[in-house]
Amino acid sequence: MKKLLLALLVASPVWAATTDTLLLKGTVPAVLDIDVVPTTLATTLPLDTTQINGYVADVNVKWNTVSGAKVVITSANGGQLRHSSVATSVINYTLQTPSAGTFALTSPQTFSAPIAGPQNITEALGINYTGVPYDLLVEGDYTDTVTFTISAI
Amino acid sequence: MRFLLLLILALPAWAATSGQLPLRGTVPAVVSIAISALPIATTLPLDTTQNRTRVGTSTETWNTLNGVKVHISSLNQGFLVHQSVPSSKIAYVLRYRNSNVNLTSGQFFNTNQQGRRTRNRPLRISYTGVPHSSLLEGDYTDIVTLAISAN
Repeated sequence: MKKLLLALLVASPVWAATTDTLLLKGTVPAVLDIDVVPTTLATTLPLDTTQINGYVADVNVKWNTVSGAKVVITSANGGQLRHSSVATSVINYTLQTPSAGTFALTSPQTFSAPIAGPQNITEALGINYTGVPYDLLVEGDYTDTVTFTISAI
Repeated sequence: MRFLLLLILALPAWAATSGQLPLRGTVPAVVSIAISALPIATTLPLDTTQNRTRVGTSTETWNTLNGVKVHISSLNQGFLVHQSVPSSKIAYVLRYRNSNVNLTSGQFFNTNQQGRRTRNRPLRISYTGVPHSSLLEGDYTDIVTLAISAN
């Protein structure tokens, strides 16, 4: 019986495959990038001269996510240019872009672009404020810091 | 009369003086193929151009008199295709036996060499890298099938 079994095993054909496959795969990671390039005007604002869409920066955003991206814009001073030492001396301002329109920064603003990537968009950023004669303002620097944060939707 | 009968009985039967025993063994046709993939096959750096980078080896074995042929085909006709957005894809070239494979329609490669043989054939890939920011996020894949058959 053992001999028969052995003979059968020896006589069996080799079960070799006649087809095989090769999986090829590459992965693209999520890319979310934002770059704010200020103009000279951004740090030399003529506070005595009203600005309407004064060109202060280019904002370049890139994303490659399937569901798009969102940008959150926040202001350190809640949308006010504030005196360096006299915090009560302020100038209100708003920003605007061609696609977002005009917006205040009293609270963080979120702009969503539910568009699949890859996208590479540059928008001009403008500032709006009403000029105030210098003699009505406390001498000194008036500043604010605006932060742009991009994330996937 | 009795003597004659005894003589007949004593005679040997008319038996053959030779015989034949047929002996035969049959070796079936054996053709097989096995692909061993290198790690880079599934970690392709899509942002870096590849020029005949080895992604695997096809080991082919046959014992047939007239050799074998290998058919190579691609699920996506020579493109690495995004997992959910089929329009997002990357063209590539597969090289086998020092030739670019036509993956659009598939291609046969013939070997007339008589078996018994085993051959290790490198599989190499080429494509132009694209910055990740210019590609949709996700996995890009293709499945290449190699099928061997006797000539």
